[in-house]
Formats: sequence, structure tokens, C-alpha cells
Amino acid sequence: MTEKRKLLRYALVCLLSCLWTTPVWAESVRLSFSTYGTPGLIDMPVALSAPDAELVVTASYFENITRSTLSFQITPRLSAAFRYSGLEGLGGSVRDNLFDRSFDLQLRVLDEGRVVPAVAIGLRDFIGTGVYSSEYIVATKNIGTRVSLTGGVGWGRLGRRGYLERADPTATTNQGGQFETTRWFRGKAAFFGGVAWQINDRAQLKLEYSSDSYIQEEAGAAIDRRNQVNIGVDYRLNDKVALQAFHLYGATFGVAINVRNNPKSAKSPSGTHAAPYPVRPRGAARDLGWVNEDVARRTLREALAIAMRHEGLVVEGLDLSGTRVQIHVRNTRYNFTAEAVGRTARVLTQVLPDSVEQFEITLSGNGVATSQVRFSRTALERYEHAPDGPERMLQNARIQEANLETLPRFDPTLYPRFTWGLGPYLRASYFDPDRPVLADFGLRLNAEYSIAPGLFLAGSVRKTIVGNIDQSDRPSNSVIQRVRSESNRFLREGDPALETLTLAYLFRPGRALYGRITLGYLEAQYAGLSAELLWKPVQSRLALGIEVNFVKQRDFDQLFGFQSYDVTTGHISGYYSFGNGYHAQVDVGRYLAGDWGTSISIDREFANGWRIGAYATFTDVSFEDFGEGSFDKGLRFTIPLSPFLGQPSRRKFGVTLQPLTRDGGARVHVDGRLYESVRNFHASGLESSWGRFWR
Amino acid sequence: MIFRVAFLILAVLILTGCGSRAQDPLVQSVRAAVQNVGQTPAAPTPVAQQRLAIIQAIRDAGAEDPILLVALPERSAVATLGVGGDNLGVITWIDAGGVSVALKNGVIVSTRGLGHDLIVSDVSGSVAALKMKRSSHTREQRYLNGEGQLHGIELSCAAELEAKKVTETCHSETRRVVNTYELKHNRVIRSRQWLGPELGYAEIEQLQ
Repeated sequence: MTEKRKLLRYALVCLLSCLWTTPVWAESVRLSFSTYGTPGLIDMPVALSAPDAELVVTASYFENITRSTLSFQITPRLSAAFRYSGLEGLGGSVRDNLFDRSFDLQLRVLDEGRVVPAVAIGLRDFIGTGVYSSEYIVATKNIGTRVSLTGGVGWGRLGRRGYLERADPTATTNQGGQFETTRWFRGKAAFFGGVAWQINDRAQLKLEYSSDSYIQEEAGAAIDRRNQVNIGVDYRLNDKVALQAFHLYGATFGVAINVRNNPKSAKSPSGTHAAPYPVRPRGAARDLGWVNEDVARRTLREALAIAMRHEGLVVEGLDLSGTRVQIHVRNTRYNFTAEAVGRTARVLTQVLPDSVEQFEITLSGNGVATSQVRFSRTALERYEHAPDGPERMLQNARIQEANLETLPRFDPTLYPRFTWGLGPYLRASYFDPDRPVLADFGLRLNAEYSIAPGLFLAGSVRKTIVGNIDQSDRPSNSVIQRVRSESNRFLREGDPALETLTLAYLFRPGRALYGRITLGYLEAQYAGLSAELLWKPVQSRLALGIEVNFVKQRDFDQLFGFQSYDVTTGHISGYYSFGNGYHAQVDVGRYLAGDWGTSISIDREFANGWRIGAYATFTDVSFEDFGEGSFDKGLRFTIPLSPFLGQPSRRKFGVTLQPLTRDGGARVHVDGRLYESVRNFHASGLESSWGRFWR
Repeated sequence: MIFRVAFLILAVLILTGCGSRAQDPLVQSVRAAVQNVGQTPAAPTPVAQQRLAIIQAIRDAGAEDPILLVALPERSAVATLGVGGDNLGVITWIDAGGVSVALKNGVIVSTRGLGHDLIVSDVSGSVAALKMKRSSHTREQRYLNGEGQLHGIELSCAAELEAKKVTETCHSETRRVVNTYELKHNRVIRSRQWLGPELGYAEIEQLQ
């Protein structure tokens, strides 16, 4: 223990010695983060917000307590945080360490003015198990450009109470995860406050009087508190990374690291991939003689095929008349559909005879036509270099329902086609009660056979090479049908595992309608039949869908066998795009355990493809039967890979953080659900990326 | 030890690249990164030196097509571009590496493939200024931001012709940029133009 303290004290001295080495004056007090990973002093919050959309990962450690926090500025005023804490020695008799998940919210209600301070109201740990449960109102005011003062009042833990004192003794069945609204801002309150001094551009000194007494931690001998005063140093290494060191409660030293990222920023916003073909303007003569010349037609088809391949675009169908072209295009390269449309249009000007004036470009996703963008060749010629070219093109384009007639096949070698890949994979399992992070590394073989447009046979097999996911051996304590809570058994016993093996058919039953039927081994734990129908007009912000699945639970070894449980599950879903990047989804229906209920999710999507969201599911499984957490909830992230690759790619990295995997409110996973694969081709998706039409 | 083995296997897999998707950009960029480990990049030749070498090579080859030489001193990069398109008086010059630069009467309208591209610029005032002894005009240069949305930088400019050289001095709210154009028979033969905050200036010279 003394060794550890020495190390932490050394860290503090190091940071202090850095403070005066860079005498650049900051223009204002920089935003710093607390040990809780939210805007703050040391343990106490401040009334400030991070820049809009800032995503901050914080790890802090002091005296037997580790907190890992992910915080996100949802709107300029509202921020949220998810935290995973380890408290050594507080686990009671069952285990030594207490692992705790908690969620925070903070709303800045008042902006700082010349006289008035910024004011924020916040909830800490408002749906967790209650270890950090507290509420506060806080005010922060800058004095000059280098000092800021903060003062506030807190309840619950921030009212100098222990978290056990707060728990309702009558609620013996509380499994955590519930909104204890009746106790918010109630009971004993206490004042806290502090000051932040921006020494120079990089370093900030923080001093606070804390209103947290660490009562349970002290009782569990995890911390030896002497007073309520904390002092800390924040040293910013660069725009992304900051290091902090603290002296806490007159008793101990601590350290923290903050890593910031903002989905709104990008390293090379326009991409470094190759320039498009320029527009080829036409001469005065518009001869139609080529229409009946087979040689001329064949030559131009060959030229079109070469140029489109060069652009990473696949021509699925082509219908060319004397004055009009209809083309079905599959985009394999560009993250932004508008860029795929713009590039197709310019290739067409290069290749097509001068008489063709009307361009109708249909985007196809997974082999089905989704929407059509239509404009005149004259507009392309006129606005290629116009200062308001993107806006002019959008005005002159009609985005509408695709022509559902099948066009003549352009390239006979497209179907059937077989593709396969063998590559490494890494997967992680989080929040196991015994070990917070487990990981596996291995090989995955996947293959896809495209039989006809919209008809695919696909599968993947995985084999672990090294990892420790198989150490997750805590048996399920679920009292309802075990539809997800034995996931660790699937992870442990499925090696090698047949992950998926499905036959999928995607089709257009009519105008604004999309259909999907998937049959086979849908996911690691379930197999069966999944059918979905989606209604989504091209211009509409609203979409409606219905999905029905007949599934049977697979064997733990994930080969071809089954367990005895089968269920019919399905949902009616409503999707709405608010148009400013926010998307909402509501699902009502029957879940895997046969429970009925509803899921609500909200996502914020950035025009560059980043997506951050949260969801919650409430079903007729009681909080008590659900078990720890009370109901299913989680956070999900999608990160486009193209900015990291420095070249265009449609690949994305998606992860869902589900603090607890239980059996209530669980759904079957199916690849290729319709809404997400359709909406980017529609008006709102195209228009939000239209700035890239001429890229 | 076991992790080192895993890493080696990963590296080998990526380097060998199995399957029909080996051309995947993810695979390729990881492969490039792994191959570059431990290699120190060669010190870049100064831009001026690169430029002279290229001009000499072109003269030696006796090429007849017009060639545009574009240097980005802040990136220590020089490229030679050929004519790829001509639409409404705007010439698009393209190089083999996928970079393009569009010019109207020698004034930069747009770039592509440079990462922080100038998506489009309103150059009518600057083009007119090249024919006048003295003028003042505005121009807007538009870029994509990190979210993929267009945003503009408004510049108000004053231009002056002196000894066959036009100096265009522009101010935005936060910066001052100076473009210079050298004329011969009323055409721009050499220029130094500001592309944007990240790319800085481009030095452009038309050969032949």
C-alpha cells in the first residue's frame, strides 16, 4: 500500500513540476473533469458543459476505488454519463470487490452572464444500484479569464450521507435500476464548493470542499478520510488527452486520465481519396445516329463498366434510350450516398453520347432498388463549378421512389457470385460480475453467395485462438425462461461455432414497401424464420415496420443442434427522423421470453456517420423477476472507419454496451434489418450528405 | 508470450490477406501500417528542389501537352497535372495520384483529393481583378467540416497590378491572405494562392 501511495504522490509532484514550464496564457479557464468523468472539480461537479457532442472517456483511481466513465454531451445543455466502478473491499461476503454501474444526467439551465453564474442541475447514479446516488444544483462563475468559482448544494451522497442510509428499508426487493424519483432532492442537504485556477494554457489547479463523506467506503476500510478538502492538478497533454493528479480528503493520492473525442471533428473532412471524373461538356451537335449502331453501343457499355468499376460503383442494371438513361447503381465504396450519385452522374457525362439529356440514377441496396435521383445533364454541366453548385444541384434534382421495374441486367457475371473472407476477430465481454472485461481473439471465416438480386446465402464460422471469455462461468440465476442470461455458456462452449448460416431474400412488394425473409441460423443463440415488412416513402420522416420471428434456441455448442425452447416473437415498430440528426424508434411486441412490452430508443447521428444512442425496454416481466437492473437498457455506438483509414469505406464499427444481460426484454438478432439498410438512400439521408455531391 | 503469438498470427494474416476481399481498405491500411513499422520515413527533398527536377525532366522529355506544376510547401509535396476537363472556362487538371485542381483563368476554383479540399470558390471577382489596374471585390471559399457539412470563409479583397504581377490581399474576420499572380500576355503563368486554413498556400506554374 505504501508503495502505491508513493507512486501516486510521485505522479502529483511530476504534474506540479510541469505546470510552470509552458508560460502560455490561456484565454479562459478550461473545462476539467471530475473523478466521476463529468465536468467538475475533483469529486464535485461544476455547472459547465463540454462542447456539443464531446465524447470523453475517463479513468480515475484512488485508494481502492476505480471509476471508468464514458460521458457524452447530448445537446449543448444536456450531458449524460455511464460509469463502471470497482470498489475494493466493499463486496460483502460473496466477493471482495463491488462492481457498480451508474448513469448520470446534467442539465445546464442557465448560461453564464456578466453577473449571473451558469447554473446546472444534475442526477448522479439515477438508475444504478445507488452507490453514488445523489442530486445537486450547482453554479459556476468565471472571475476574469483565469479563475472560476463553483458553489452548490447536494442531496443523497452529496448531502454527506452514506448510500445505505438512503436505501428504502421497506423496498427489500429493489434490484437497482429503478427511478427512485420520490427520494430525489429530499432529506439532508449539504453545501460544496471550490475554485479552479488556470495557471497557463496547459495546467489548471483545482481546490474544493467536498460534501461527500465516503461513509460506506470508510466503514469498509477502503478509505481513511481525515477532512473534506481535495486538491488537484489537471495537465493537458494535447487537445485530446489530459492527465490529472489529486490529493483527496487529507488521506490519499489519486490519478485520472481523460481522453476526449468529438464526432463532429475529422482528420481529413473531405477525404484524401481520388478526385472524381470531371463533367464532359457537350458540343453543339446532338446526333442520335448511335442508337442503332451495335458497335457504338457495345463500346460505350464497356467504357461505362470500366469507369464505374474505377469509382467503386457497380452497375446492376441499365436502360439507355436516345435521350434518357436509367441506371441502377450499387455503392461499395462511399460512406455518403450523395457522393456515389455525384460520381455516377459525372461518369455518365464522360461516356454517354451527347443526345442523352435525362439522368435517372437509382440506388440499390442489397440488390433492391430504393430511391431514384433524377436531374438533367444540362444542370450538371452548368453547376459543376458554380459557387452555389451543391445547392443548385439539389434544387434541380428530384429524389423519388425508385422505378420498380427490373432493368435489363448490365453485367451477366454479377449473379450468381461467391465471395469469402478469412480474417482475425476480437470480441470482448463486458461487465461480468467477477471480471469486468473479458476478451477473445480468433479466426472467422465468412462467405456469401449472391444467387440473384436480393437473394443471398451467407454464413460465418469462428474459432477462438486465445482468450479468457471462457472464464465467465457464473451460472444464470434467472427465474424466468433463460433466453439471454446464459450467453456466457454460449461463449464458453461454442468453439468452433457456426455463428450464422442463412438464406435471405429482400424484395419490394410495392410502392414504399420493403420486405425481408431470413431463414436459418440467425445468430449465435437462435435459429428459425424471420420475416419483416417496412413502409418507408422516400420523402417521409416516418417509417413503420412489422417483424415476426419463429425461433428455436440453439445448443450451447453452436453447431447444428437445438434446445427445447421455441418462441414466436415479433414487433410493430415506428421510426422517426427528426431531421436534425436525432432519430427515435419505438417497438411494441413480444420478446424472446414470451414477455410483452415496448422498447424506446433515441440516437443522435452525425452527418459524418457517427451515431450514439440509448435504449430501454419495459415488459410485463416484473422488476423483481427481471433481477439485477430491473429492466433492460443500454448504450450503443456506431463509428465509421473511413476517417481512420483515410480513404472511403462503408465499413463501420458498432458496439452496444449493455450493463446487464438478463432475460426480460430480449430480442433476436437478425442481419440486414430493413430500416437501417434503406433510410440512407432516402431523401433525408441523401440531403444531409449533399455537400459531397461534387466530391 | 501467448499474446505475442496472437499478435504475430494477426500480423501474418493481415499481411497475407485471405479471401476475395483482400482489396478491402481496412485490410490494406492495416497492412501498410504493419509494413511501415520500424522504417523511418525518408527525409523529404525540399519543394524547390523537387520542382526544378520535375521541370528539367519535362523539358528533357520534350512533352507537348500543357502541364501544371502544383507545389504545397506546407506538405512538402509537388505534383504535375494534365488537363482532364474543360467546362464553361474552368479547366480541371488531374494527376496520376488522384489529385485534381480546377482553375478559371488561372484562379483556383476547387481542389480534390487533398483531405481539406476547397470544395468550391466564388472567383468571379478575382478573375475580373486580373484585367484591372486596381479593384476591390469579395470571394467566398467553401469547405466540408468534420460533420460533412459545407461552410464558407468570406474574404474581402483588394487587388493591384504592378509590373505584370497582380497582388490580391484578402481579409476574413480572423486572417489575412495574399495571393499573387504573374501575368504574361494577360494570362497567369505563375501564381501563389491560398487554398485554406489547413492546406495553406499552393504554388502553381503552367509549363508550355
